[in-house]
Amino acid sequence: MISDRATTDAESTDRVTTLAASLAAVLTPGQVLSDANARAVYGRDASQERGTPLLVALPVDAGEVAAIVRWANAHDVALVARGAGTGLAGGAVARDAVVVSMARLRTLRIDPATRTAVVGPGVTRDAVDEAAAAHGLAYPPDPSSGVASTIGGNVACNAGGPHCLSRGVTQRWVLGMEVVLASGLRVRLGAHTPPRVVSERRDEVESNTGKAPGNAPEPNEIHAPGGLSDQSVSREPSAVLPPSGDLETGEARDPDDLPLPTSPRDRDSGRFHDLPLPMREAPTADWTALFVGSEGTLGLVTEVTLRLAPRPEAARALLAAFPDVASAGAAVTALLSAGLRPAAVELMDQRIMRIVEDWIAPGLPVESGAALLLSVEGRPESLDALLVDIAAALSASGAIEVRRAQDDAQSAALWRGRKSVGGAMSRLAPAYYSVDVVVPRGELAAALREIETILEAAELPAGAIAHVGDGNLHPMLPLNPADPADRARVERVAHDIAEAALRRGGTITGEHGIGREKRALLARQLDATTLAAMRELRAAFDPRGLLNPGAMLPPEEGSGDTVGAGTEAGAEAALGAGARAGAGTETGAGIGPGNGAIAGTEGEIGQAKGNRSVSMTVAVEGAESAAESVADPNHPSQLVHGRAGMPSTIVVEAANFVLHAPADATVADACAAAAAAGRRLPLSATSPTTTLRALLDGYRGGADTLEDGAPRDLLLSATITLPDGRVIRCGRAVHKNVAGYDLHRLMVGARGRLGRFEAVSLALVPPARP
Amino acid sequence: MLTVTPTHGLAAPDTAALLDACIHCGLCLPACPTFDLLGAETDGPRGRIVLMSAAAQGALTLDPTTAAPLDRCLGCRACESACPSGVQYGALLERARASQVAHGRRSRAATRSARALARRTLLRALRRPRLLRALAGATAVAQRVGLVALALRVGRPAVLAAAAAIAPPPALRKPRLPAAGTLAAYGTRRGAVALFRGCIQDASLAAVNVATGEVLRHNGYDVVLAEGQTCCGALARHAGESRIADEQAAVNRAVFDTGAAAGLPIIVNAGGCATTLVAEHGAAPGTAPALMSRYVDLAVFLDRVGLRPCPSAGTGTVHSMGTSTITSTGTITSTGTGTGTGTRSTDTSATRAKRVAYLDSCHLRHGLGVAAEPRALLAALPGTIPVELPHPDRCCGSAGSYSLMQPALADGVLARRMKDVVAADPEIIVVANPGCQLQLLRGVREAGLDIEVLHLAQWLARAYRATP
Repeated sequence: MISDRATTDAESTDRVTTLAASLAAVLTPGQVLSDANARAVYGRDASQERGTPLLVALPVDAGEVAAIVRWANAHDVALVARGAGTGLAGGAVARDAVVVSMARLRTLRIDPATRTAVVGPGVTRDAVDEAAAAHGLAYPPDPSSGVASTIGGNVACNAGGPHCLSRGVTQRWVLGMEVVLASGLRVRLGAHTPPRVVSERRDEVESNTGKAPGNAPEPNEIHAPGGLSDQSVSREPSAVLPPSGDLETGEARDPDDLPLPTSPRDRDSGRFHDLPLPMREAPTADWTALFVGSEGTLGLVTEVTLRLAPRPEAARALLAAFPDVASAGAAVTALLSAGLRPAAVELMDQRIMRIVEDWIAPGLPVESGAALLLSVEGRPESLDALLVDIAAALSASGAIEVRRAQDDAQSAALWRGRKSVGGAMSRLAPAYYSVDVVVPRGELAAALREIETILEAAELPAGAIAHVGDGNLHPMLPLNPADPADRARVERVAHDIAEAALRRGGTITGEHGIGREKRALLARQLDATTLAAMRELRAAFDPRGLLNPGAMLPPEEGSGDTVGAGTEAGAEAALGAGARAGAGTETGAGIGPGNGAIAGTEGEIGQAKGNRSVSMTVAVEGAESAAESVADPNHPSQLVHGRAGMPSTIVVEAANFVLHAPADATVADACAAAAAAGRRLPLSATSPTTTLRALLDGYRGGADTLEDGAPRDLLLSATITLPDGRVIRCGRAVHKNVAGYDLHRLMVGARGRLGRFEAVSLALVPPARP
Repeated sequence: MLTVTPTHGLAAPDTAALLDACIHCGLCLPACPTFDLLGAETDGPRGRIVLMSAAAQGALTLDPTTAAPLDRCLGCRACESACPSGVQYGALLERARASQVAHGRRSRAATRSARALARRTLLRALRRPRLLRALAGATAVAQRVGLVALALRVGRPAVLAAAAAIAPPPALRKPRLPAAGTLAAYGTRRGAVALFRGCIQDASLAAVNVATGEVLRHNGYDVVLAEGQTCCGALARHAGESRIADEQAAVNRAVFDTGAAAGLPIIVNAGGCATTLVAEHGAAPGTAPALMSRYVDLAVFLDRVGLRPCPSAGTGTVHSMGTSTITSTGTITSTGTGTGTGTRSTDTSATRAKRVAYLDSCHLRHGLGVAAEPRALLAALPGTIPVELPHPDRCCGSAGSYSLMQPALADGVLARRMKDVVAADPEIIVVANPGCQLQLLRGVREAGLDIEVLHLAQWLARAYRATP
């Protein structure tokens, strides 16, 4: 940890001046902002978190990012990466740290032949989609902030959006990336290809400051609107990669199998030794999956290779009004169960419809208790028939009224109300807080009712929208940040809703991230052992705590790192802070699947202190005995997860579209169980005796192999025995979850070197339409 | 009775409410040309609002150093169109600049700064048509001399270079409308309108005003030229010189409220002027401002009264235009590759249809919400194949006096816009504002492109002159 974080004002002014001078010396001119105004401007993102960074660095390429990280090591200063600052959890807010703005890394290359895009982290999501559109391709994840939010930020938070129902979240579309690790080492990660060191650190200093000649752009290279490495700006583009790295540029895009290295020394070059220990131990683990959603705590992403999809030929909207939220939720389940798969299903409750209608009067059915807004995609000639079928199904599920768009203009008109929710909310108060919980699909109706009750009790003029197909609920709470009483009230409501979601087996965040504001809540979701494992992994990558130290994992007891208790003026306690320790342990045992972790034994926190790194030396066999001691009695799906290693007990939660199975169940049995429940598990194995564990351990395909998602994407949660015998439970049996590191997905393809899968929860898809 | 809203700077009582409308979501960032160019939050709308907030609360004084990010703002208001919460950024910026000027008056150092001096010199010139004409020049030599004098006074070679670069070709400086009088309608008379001549438009781009008069006459309107009118005040208002702007508004009120122009609709052919005039002369907030004022944008007016058919339109003839044909009703039917997507024809005849791109005036688009009307006129015009530029909401970098005050940034913004132009590959760029016309003329010239840059009125006038 960095020791001297607390300083007086005078000291900090001196420190800023000194640091600014030394940082400016390692960058090209004009890349460091140190005046008080600029620091204030960078003191916030789209959340309610506040903090004043020490400095702002504006690197233009990966070499400069690496130089900044090496500088941070030398000066013992923490770094916080920032994209467009559209995050809602405060993940880009820096206190006593330097903001590293990625806004100037804006190269964008589309390769239509391989359907990939190689993108700088500062490129906006919409710019990628726009560039892809020119080739008839699309980038499907569509967070509402997509017009402004950057790919770097989308990757950091594993962004979702309405269309993730049909297309999956950001993680599914990231094939690989280049990152600068906390040591300053530049590493290229690819889906199921071992990490590769991009450059020697010392060489890089010279190639960067020594004015390396700019690489000639590749023929198909274009710049996103706003690429700074653009001839219209005086500065010449510097080489994105030094010469030694050029040779390796293409590797992440080529998911060809590499031979599994038998020992670290056989691989690559001597630089391999510079990689963090876990990477050396398990080079074939899915490091890309781990880095997506890691909120800038494991490394700074300097380039992302994205998979692109064929662009839908046509899309039509459909709006259906329901008497109440429960019937709307049930209609979604019925629709999916029938194999009718819209591209997106959004829900608006009556309160939110009235708020929007009062502002721009888009003609929402405000007399109804709830409305569903669907987007249906497909070929133009088959779209109408599908729309008719969906409309009929919705009517059969109790829809009072169904409006079907006939053309693009009508579709846009139907979407207008939904897209104006943010603007409408901002009329009610100086700010609003968007809750981001996910509940199992089967719990949708009940959860929405419970949230309504909470909002009514609090007398907040709030409403809810939801990516309802995924179970991702966004109650929108108006907020006056200047009024402490109002803040406290909103925090309490947000906390109550999060607890309600946890009791139902859900997660506290589906797409916004933990950031600074939900750190304390994370401890309510994950058990102490799992949190400890996550801390150890983080420490293995960032032993000095240089990367976004105020974000994501809750502070360890006695670490001096307090949640939300920043010293900045106006930096009140973060939402969810104050952690209501003890008070909230309303052990919801038996309330439904996934209740367990709430009752997490907080006394265990810190148990693993001193055990600073995950021991990776134990092989698969060593874990056999550990499987007997599953130490998680309140396990959500304990029926399955609690009896790992026992003969197959496969449980299908049909309404939730989830299957729980022991890891040694065969793929064939799991598929059969899903089919028997009218669902589909889109996995296949070459042998009838292949177990789920074997499939996950050895999976070698890229993320682009399966329409419904690769095994990594289907793996929602897992009970895992670590090599040292501890048992952790990662993920959540819901369809969207960005709370904590995805250790379970990391271990896909890892050959059991990081841990042994004991039980898994897998996503199911609707049956193929008859 | 027309009223002029007094500007108190950020100290105005309702500033806090304007600032509170911003929820800091950041969706404005990609719309901002300077954020696009510089990639720094300080040079985006959200960062500027943070600075304005600090200034409004008294935590920050807007001196030349602290206000530099505000100086770098084009004031294009594209962020307003992008904002989901309806933040009135333009109003905030005007207040911030008024606060800057107020501070500058208190601080001698700031008053003497080259930039402030240049701004005042320009604004003074705008109030004096003869001086402005002298600057713009009857001949290239005189013009250069005028600008050299200005630049020397300012002491900024970059200003000299920029000013020389935006000098219009002599063909656009003549002919000139008479100072006063009434131009009679052609054909059946539909009514009378007054013409707002503007300052730069009348000095540097006099041919545009002549064309505007012609188009109005072809549409059956007497055109009243009211003597004594002055600049609309936009440049002064945007520079924070609200006193100068208020004086100019008073002069114009006197001119248009009396004599032959009294009570007539006042046609404005410059987007920036139209937005300022509509905003300052009686538009109710929240209403469709373009329709609420005596001041009317040319395209809005023509669209509302209905454009009279051009001579060539009545014949039903089909000019040679590749795959597209135009019917007598002005609709375009296309075969094969489709309208607007074809490439340049090899037919060099003057009458064949041309690919025409409309370049929005930022204030017309983002301030008054006028985007459909000029496009509708073009789409209905014979001999016109409308093409759309990528990023139609983007500023060209002219932005009033910005291209003189921030020449390097203006160049960067223009370079971005020229990429859009190259991508759309038009033969004609139609503009709606004098600054845009000067900027695009320069952009096209420096890029060596074979593209004509015309004001909407010029393209319409050409259509009325055309014979089948």
